[in-house]
Amino acid sequence: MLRFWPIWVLLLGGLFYWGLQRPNPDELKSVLVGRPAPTFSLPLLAPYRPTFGLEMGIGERLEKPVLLNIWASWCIPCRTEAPLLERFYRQHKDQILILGVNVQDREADALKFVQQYGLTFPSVFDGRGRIGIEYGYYGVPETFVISREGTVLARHAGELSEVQLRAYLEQVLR
Amino acid sequence: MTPGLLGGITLLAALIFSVLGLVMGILAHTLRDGRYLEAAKRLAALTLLAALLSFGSLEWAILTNDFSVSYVAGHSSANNPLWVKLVTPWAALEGSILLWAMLQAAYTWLVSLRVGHSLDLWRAPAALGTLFAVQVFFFAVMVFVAHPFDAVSNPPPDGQGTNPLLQNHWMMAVHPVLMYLGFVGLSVPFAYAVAAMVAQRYQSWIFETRWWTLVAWGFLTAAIFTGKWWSYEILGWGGYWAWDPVENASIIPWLLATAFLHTAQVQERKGLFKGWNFAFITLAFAATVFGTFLTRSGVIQSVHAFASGPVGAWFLVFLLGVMAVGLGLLARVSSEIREAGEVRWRSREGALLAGALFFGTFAFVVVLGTLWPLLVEALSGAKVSVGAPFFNQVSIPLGVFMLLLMGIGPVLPWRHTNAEVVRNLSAMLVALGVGTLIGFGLGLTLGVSLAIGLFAYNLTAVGLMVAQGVRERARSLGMPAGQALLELAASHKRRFGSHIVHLGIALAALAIAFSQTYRVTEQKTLQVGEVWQTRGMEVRLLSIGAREEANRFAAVAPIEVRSISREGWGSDGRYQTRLNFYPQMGSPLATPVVKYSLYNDFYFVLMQFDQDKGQWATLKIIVTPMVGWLWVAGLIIVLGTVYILWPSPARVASRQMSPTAGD
Repeated sequence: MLRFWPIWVLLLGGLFYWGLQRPNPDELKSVLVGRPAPTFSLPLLAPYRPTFGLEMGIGERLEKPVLLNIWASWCIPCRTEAPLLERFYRQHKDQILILGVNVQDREADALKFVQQYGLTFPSVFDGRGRIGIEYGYYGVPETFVISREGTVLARHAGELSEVQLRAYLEQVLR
Repeated sequence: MTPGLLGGITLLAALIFSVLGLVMGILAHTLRDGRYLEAAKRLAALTLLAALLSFGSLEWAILTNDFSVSYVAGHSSANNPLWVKLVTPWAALEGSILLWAMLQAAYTWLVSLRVGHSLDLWRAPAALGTLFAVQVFFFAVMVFVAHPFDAVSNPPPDGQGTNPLLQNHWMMAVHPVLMYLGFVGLSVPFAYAVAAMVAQRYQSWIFETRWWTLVAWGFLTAAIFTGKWWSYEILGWGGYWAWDPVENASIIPWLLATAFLHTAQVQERKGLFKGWNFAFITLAFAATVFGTFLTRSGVIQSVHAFASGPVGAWFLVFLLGVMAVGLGLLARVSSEIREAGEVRWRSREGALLAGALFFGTFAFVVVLGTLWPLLVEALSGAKVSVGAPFFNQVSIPLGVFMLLLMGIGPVLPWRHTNAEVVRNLSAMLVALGVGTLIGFGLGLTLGVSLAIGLFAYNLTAVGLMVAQGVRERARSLGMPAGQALLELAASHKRRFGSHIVHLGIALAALAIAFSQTYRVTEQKTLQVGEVWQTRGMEVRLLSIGAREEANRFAAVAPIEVRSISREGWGSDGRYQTRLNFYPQMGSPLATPVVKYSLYNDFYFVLMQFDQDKGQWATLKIIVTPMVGWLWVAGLIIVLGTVYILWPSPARVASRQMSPTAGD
């Protein structure tokens, strides 16, 4: 093993060199921007079923613009983001729908998270990683801004701030 | 003379001195001429002087609000309180590299003082040369790509301010410095290892290297615990460890250095594990550079990465250089350091090696988990993230094994197992069983019950070890047990210190098990005057007010808490929950109030408030058991380390710093 040390060093170096050359993932534009949002329908987490039905997702036609927020209960930025999204949703729910997609998670943990932050905007449970295939998200949290026509307008990797949320709202209402 | 000019000149001087020092080291090694070594020693002192002046200039610029210096304009503000200004040098990239380089120069200077004493003339040139090479790198990074004293042609009236997360808690003044002291400290063992391999003297390096490694390890431990503390008291999510790449970057070198501290004992005593020791030290130092590379290059997504920039490529080259030198040398000497004897697994050496292998495996798993997203993306283009669940799943079994070994190791003798050892081990197993059963009896989960058992098991191990020594000494010298204990503790500092450290680790494991399992969170919106009964407490929202402070604006919601049952015991008091608004940040920063008690910790966070009329506020309460004990455990570990390192009276008298005292 040790005899081949130059190979190990080169492999590691190659990997990191590639990593450095790659555009900054935070700034990377999704190939989806400007295209129709992939449609899907996933089971809602239990607390939302009485209000929103059994399943929810992105269909061919949308009633309102959608903020598709991908989150997980173990992700720390999601925890700071959740109260912000909730507050924003309460203020603007007649203008925009926030749809949470819980990924890479256990359903019980997701329910605890929802309860803990008293989230009223609906979240679906993606136990099989469908969203990852359809949308190609980078990590959690990540948010896709989808217009009423079903076009992806923007993608936001990482935590949202209030200012950015307002900017996205203006963008979809324009 | 302006601070910017002085800082720039001294920075360049430090680079030149370091390059000269490197050249002198190489000449001293190749020509075997003591005069070059003398010159290298002087250059070490000169570099330190230049680095201190440069760092002092940065402080000077910040304290005098000299916004013509780009670093000050970008990361400071005239309104900052004094303590924030004093810590601003390590609030951002350039300044933190300057601090790093200054500490590196200080370590190099300390090593240069050992030349001719414990650092013999065969190894000294290579050791100093390695340290100078590391120093050249850091000063060159600053001079060429991340200059802290770049001039601003049109100085603004005020700077952009310091990172709010740093201003929000005094711990940030301490944590980064400790971290750098630990990271930089590991460069000395690396230099000693390189020197030993270059000079082909494979045994003598280990004694002093253990001492240096322990110094760095102590700082790293303190840094990791203060980092957890900061994260707990600031980030407002009630946790202290999230397996973020930056946190992983601090734990990887810690694990590898821990492994070395264990196998080094075997080499010291029996001359075994030479290859392992070289490998652990090389990898531990490479891991510090790896961590720095991760945080400063933006190559992996992380919550607290520094802004990415051109320094990433520099750090990559440096990382590969360190690995190439370390592994290359190791490959060259590997045939000469073949083990002379067999490892006996059922003795102390076997337990020490097994422990070290666990630490090494753990480090490997953390590296793999951290790099996995990058690796997958490089091979398949898919983006994945590895989160806390993965790390928690693998670290629990590894942790249990390590706690088991930690008890066994010191109990096993170096030679053959005898009847007394079997008795001791049986007593420990009984403690393990009883502790676990008590946990079950109290209705605790399997993991927590096991943690209690393991704590009792380790407590028993240390107790038996100490009692045995005291008994023997008291009997053979005919003295009272108390006196025998004190004398033993004074004469066997390494052994007693390691007992203290082990107890600290066992306590930390217990605190982690409790706090991770039984954390509860409650949240509610309260009207002013409303009383909320939850988790054994009565919480009354007293009022909502605003407060204008020099560097920030704060919304303050005082609350009064009264305990009404056992669960809330210890929570009583009046607390000022607050949200801090910093001008340079879009969203408010919650500042939790933490009330520690012997069992439960109460954590009050103001989440939102009525901005129009000030009539309601949303409060979050997190109750976590035993977090305070985690900080106590950290303190115990650090105190144990200090105890080992504390010079014994005999050693001070002979002006020796040799680490050979102890058991």
